[in-house]
Amino acid sequence: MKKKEIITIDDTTMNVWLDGSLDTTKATNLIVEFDKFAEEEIEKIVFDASSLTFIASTGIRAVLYAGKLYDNNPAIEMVGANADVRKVFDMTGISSYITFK
Amino acid sequence: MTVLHFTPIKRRTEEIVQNILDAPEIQEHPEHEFAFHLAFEEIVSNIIYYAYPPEAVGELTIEIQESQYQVIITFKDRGRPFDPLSVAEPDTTLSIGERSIGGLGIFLVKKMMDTVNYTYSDSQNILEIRKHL
Repeated sequence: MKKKEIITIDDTTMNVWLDGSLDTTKATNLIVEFDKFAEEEIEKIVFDASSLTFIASTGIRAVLYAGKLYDNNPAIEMVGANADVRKVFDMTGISSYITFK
Repeated sequence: MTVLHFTPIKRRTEEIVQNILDAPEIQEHPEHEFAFHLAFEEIVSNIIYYAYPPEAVGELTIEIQESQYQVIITFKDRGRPFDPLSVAEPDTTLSIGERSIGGLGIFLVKKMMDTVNYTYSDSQNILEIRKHL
């Protein structure tokens, strides 16, 4: 199976593509991926959640982790999240740190 | 009633969660699928990561019962006694810098289910969750 690239950097914007189920296993892998970009200068992190069907607390943690990786408090955007996924962000109070589009 | 038993359990979160979701009592209620999926994921991953010491094989039994008014799912493990309901709820009002990265799992289970009960009996952690229909 062809490995899909999930994180790309465009100048100071990090784009993260989320697909299917962001469960405990996938979220742990995603955090490892974020660490590879820790030296970048990032002002905005854009998550494409249009193909995301499920997110667990570890997925929420992974999103928070990306934001905390940079001292300058980068903006976090979540694009195309479905109602169920959005609800998990709302319940955990994380929505206030994120711009949903 | 459906009864599922798993041993060993390490690195089997996805498979175990899918097996519970495939139970007929759960399949009958697609409107609650997301809530069930989230609750099962949080509970099963917690048991797999924390209930047993690293060298232990571990085991997990899940019972799924349905009545006219509710679905009851019971998780039983023989790991160290641990009441997940004793964990302090995360403060969801803090700023992103102040938020600790943890404690969200059981909080989400409580939000998604109508009742969550814990008991320790016969050397087993017994966590029972109920979803009203």
